[in-house]
Amino acid sequence: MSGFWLVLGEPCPASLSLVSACRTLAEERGLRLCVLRIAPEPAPAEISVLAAAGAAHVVQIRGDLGDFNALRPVTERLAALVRERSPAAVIFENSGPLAAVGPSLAAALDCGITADCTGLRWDVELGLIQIRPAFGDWLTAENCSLTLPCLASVRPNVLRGEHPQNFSAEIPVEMLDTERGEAHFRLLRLLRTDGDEPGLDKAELIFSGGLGMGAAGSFALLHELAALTGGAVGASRAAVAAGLASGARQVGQTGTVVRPRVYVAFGISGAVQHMSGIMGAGTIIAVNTDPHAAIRAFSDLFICCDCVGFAEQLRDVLKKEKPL
Amino acid sequence: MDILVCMKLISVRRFADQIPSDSPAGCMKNRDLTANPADLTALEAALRLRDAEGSGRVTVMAMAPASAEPVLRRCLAMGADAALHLCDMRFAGADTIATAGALRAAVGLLPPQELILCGQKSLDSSTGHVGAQLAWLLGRPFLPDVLRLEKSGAALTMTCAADGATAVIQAAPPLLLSLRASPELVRSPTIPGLRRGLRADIRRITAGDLPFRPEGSSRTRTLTTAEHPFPPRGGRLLSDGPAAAEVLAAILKGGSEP
Repeated sequence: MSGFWLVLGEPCPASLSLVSACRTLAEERGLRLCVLRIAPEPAPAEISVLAAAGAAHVVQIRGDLGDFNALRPVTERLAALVRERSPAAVIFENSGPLAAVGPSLAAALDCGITADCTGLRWDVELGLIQIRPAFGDWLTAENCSLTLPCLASVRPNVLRGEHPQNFSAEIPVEMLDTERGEAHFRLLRLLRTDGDEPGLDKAELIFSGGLGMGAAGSFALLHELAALTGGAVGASRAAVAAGLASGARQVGQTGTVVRPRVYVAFGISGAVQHMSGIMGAGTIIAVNTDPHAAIRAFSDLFICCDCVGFAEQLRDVLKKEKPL
Repeated sequence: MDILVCMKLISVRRFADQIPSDSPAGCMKNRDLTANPADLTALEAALRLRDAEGSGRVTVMAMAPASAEPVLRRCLAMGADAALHLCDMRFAGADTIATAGALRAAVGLLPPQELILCGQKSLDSSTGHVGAQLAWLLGRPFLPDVLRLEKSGAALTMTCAADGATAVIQAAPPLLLSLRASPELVRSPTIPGLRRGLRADIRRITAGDLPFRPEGSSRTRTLTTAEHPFPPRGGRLLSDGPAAAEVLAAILKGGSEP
């Protein structure tokens, strides 16, 4: 039975739901879902979790994608595996350090790849149809692959399958090593900016600040909200330009396109470039002093008040409910 | 250090059609192509490196229709030393693999470039793939998500966004880096720059000049595209103050909107 492969980094709850969604897709075509997990160390405890979510086979590939020299050896290992086993499709979770592996693999195999898909479905003639947004989320395009395997990366948190289902926990597991990459890149410093905050692309809750937050210090308040709820902090382009937040936090068309369950915008006016990056959010809540702010029409709820004062009130409510 | 900047041109016509001629943005109606913002960030970084070093050439390369020429001239006016224009109908509709293949072939026409810079993502398709693919095809070390770039001795120091952190990384050329669009200012052309930009020769390259056949080089096909303007959501006003904070806290915890 040919394979339907899903490549993950360290699995998080969103990845498990992607595993389940891929299992369904695989079964529709009688394919076997194989999860390839790329991580520095094998994690035996994760196998049963992946199996419960729908993996029929797990391949653990030892490779540290946090090391910038690992891209080439990891890609070469994957390319060799694809040539050896000819899977029908290889899907990547488009997140963090994995983002460069998909396109590199496509180049190594001279195969097509569709980036950042928000949907996948089978077509009788064309195979796996890859649905992806373009121009922020203004357009949706449907692609098909002209080569096999079909390669695609999927946006985190979008393809959601039911899990856990009653899949067998007894699944084959393989362990593969990769070569050490040539040491081109030397890490001088790693500045943890987020503590334990999830990445913006995977976060369920996002607290974003705009110019209305006034000063860089008030972003600390957003980090407090994130810490209290397990969310992440984002920023508008204007806030980044004003030095209130680092560029890595920028949400929107030129930053990160996000899809949280709840997006709270503090003092963000709602430029098109920002809005197109948050249209996939479940609930959008805007806090702004300007009752005519552009963001209002595109938000579900609008709170018209000073955003710093409101963030403090929200923090106090959250703290009261969940003492630190 | 010779630096090559890969530039994508974004078609804004789709949006320009919706602008009424008499609106303040009416002048945009005649615009066809514009430079991708992240690629302008890459160009600015290249110009700063060259200027700090006081030597080396910055070349801009774009695979784009003939109407891209004014944009390339503007890059020259900003200070780029040369521009390469891959211009041939046979390149049209290239997917990321075909684009990377053509760019790789064009890089082969140039003297060795110690540094190749790309924008991390394009405004239109935002795949972020071409930089990684070009690096793979050229066999160059690749680093994505670069936020800042500085010369330190013979090496370069890059500040990158890495999963929840900022990494400061050092490496010696040859390298291929993808830069994130930065809100930092990109320089404007100067008057002498504009004069130079208007007079400069832009090197036109057709498919026939490359050891690469564009026909059949795309590995994906776009079947359909559909527009999805943002749906308005109503923006229901919630009274401010502690009551609103309570409501929001409930929503954050997974409760539904009241």
